Amino acid sequence: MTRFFNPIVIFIITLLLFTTKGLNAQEISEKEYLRLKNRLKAEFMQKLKEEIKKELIDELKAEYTVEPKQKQVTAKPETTIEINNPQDESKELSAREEKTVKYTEYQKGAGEIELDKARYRLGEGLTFGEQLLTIRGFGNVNARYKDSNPSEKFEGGNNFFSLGEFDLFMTSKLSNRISFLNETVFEFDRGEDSEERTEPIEIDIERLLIHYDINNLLKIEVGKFFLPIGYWIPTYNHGVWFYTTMDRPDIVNFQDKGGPIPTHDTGIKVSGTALLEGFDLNYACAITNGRGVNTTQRQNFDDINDKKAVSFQIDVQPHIVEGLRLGPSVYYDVIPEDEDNPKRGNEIREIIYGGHIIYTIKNIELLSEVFEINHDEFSGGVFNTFGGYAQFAYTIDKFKPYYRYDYIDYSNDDPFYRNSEFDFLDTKKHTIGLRYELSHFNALKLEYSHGVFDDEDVNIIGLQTAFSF
Amino acid sequence: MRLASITVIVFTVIFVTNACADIAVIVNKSNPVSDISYDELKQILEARKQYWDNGERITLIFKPIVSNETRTLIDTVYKIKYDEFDKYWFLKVYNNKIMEFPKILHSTGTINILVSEIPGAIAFLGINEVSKRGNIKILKINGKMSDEDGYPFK
Repeated sequence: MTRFFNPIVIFIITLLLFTTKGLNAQEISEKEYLRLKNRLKAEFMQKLKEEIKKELIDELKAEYTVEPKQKQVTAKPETTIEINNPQDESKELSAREEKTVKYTEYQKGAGEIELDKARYRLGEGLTFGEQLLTIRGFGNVNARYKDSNPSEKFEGGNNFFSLGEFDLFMTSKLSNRISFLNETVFEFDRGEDSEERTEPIEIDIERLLIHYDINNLLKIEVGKFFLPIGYWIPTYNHGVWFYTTMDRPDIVNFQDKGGPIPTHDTGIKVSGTALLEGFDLNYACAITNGRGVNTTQRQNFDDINDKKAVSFQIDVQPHIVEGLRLGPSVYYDVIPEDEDNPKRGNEIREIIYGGHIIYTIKNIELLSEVFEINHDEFSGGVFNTFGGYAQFAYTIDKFKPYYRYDYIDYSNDDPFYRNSEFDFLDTKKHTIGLRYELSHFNALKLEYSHGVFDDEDVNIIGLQTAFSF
Repeated sequence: MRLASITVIVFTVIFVTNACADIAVIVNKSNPVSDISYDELKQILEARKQYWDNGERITLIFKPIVSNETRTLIDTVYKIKYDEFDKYWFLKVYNNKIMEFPKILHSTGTINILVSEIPGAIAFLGINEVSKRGNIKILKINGKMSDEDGYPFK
């Protein structure tokens, strides 16, 4: 029985196994085949990709290792030559050592230079980009009280706060000898109808010029610039923070504020400094469009009468008295006739003679200027206006007490001044004040003025905060 | 107490040593000038002279205003308050007497490098801060080196 049982069991088991195997084989062939095929295909593609990638990388590596190898090859003979030359060996080695040290220092220093540029440029203010556009500016806020208003043409309050000019000053060095300069002033105006008090914001491009720096003797400015008349106009002009006092001297006040002398104009200016034995000689000469038909009319685009204005200034700095500057200036123009004004039917020849004596050293500041304005109406009338100022200040630590005397005597019948929107009053004014440096870029000024304007006494008290940024 | 005394002495010595540091006037080696008169140097420092005689534009480089070297220059040449140094240069830029402000740099290494690289540069460093390498030379003033009597920036 056992003889028969064992083969039967073996047969059954074998049959079962075969059947199971057959079933399994059938399932693989149907479901797994595609999966297996896809997997193998994917694996093959992956391997292929890796192979190609590896080959490409090797190729690229080979390409990019060529250049350094060539460099090394070219550098090697040079070194060999240098070293094999016994005469120059020590010299060349020290030169190379110096170069290496310099280069290392340079690389190390490059970052520091950039850092220094950013942090330690003296007073350059905000800078932008490679061309280094430098932006600085000025502003001031005032409070004033005056006991009367001598001007009939501008009626206003006698007790007020006022915003001064907001002045943006920009420079950019375009090359080692060429630079650009712009000064744009934003200020509130009374408006054409002062009763409506519209106070529009006036934007004035006070300077816009390109500067060619040839050498010590010759610098050329083309565009709109400060005229070289006297000292205050080409030196301080709109920078109220630079002023020791609250306001400019009356004689050099701006044309659009009732000043009798032109301060800006468009044209070409040449200037320079000759360093001579015993003194420095500074000169400036400008050819410009000149005045318009009245004191406020600008001629930035054209010249009504085509006759150019010429101004010339000399400023001498003697070495024997340090801080002293003195010199004359002259301005010539032909003012066009005003067709809308019958009293201004003729052209006027204008000649302004000026002179300045300045002494600034250590704590002492002494500024004085005089001007004579000569108007010749060609038809026979000649009118002379004379004016000037003297200012003294003495610095004691952060305090700077000051005094100024302003004087202007207008010719009574001068057709240019008497037919203007301003009064042009004869002026005798004493001003005393105190400037206090609140911070490095901010000054407080408190001052009292007593003036006689066309025989009318006026007392003015003012407080100003002037700043630069 | 002893420690405090030593500290005070050490600080005093350091301060005095720094305060008395001689100023070396350095220029690029390519500059033909090797001896400069005090008057000419003053003209350069005040930007009255802006070009060397060979036509190179002068680039003024200072250490910061807090440094002894720059303060010595302000006291002896400019004769203004330290606070007014910025205003002094700003006014010159404002009335277009100069095209740009002088360079003020903290790092003496950078100053040495700039003088090496800029042909018209002139800088004022402590005598011990001048790099012995590089394209730099020290100027005599009125024929005197900094260790000689009569040197103006001692």
